[in-house]
Amino acid sequence: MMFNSPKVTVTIGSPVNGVTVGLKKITDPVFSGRIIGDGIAVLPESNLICAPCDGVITQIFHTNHAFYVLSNAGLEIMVHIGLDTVELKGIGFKRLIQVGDNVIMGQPVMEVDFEYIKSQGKETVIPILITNMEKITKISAVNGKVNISDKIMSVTLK
Amino acid sequence: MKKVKIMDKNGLHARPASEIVSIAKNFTGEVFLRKDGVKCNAKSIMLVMGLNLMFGDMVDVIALGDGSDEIEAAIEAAIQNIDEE
Repeated sequence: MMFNSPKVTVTIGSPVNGVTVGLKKITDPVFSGRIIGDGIAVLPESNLICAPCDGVITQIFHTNHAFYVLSNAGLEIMVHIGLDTVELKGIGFKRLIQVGDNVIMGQPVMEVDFEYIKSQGKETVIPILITNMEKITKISAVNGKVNISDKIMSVTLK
Repeated sequence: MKKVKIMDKNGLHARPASEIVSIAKNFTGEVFLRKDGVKCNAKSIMLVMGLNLMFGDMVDVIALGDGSDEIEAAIEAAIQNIDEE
């Protein structure tokens, strides 16, 4: 007799206060084309970028504009702060934790000066992507205003 | 194996990394990037960006299996196709 073990569904929380934006509305084709992975974006209204789930901070790009969390359930989640913000070479971004740190959902990871980012002509929208899509069967995203750690996605693992 | 220099002034950030990962994922064999002895699976964007390759860095591109030369050449081309804005 075959039986299916229950699938695990992980709730991903917003890293910031703001409003959700569907990926297809993002002007950068790397994100709108879902090339790196699938997920959702948030247009930020606060300056602390927090962990979207419990896990480990596995990577932070040297310019601090993007970081990865490996969730306890095995999801690789990229948080990319703004578009083309790599060009700011780290100015406007302050790292609050270190690579290798364990984090809980809602824990501040990066402090960002979004006014500076806007003054440099960069968009502030934050795509949050699952980058190991081969482990996923389904993503459901929510729409609307969110506060830090409010659900933005449910991700079902295989 | 190919040794490739990073010529993008922003280093290997999300856009070029995503091209490399797309090419690598289309290859049935294994593909790695290696910098200073640290080797990573080129099919994982988390690991590729985690190498924190910066402008001027040298990276080794290593593919194993049939068609490895073509894949190494394609990844070299992606790395050197600079993202000028």
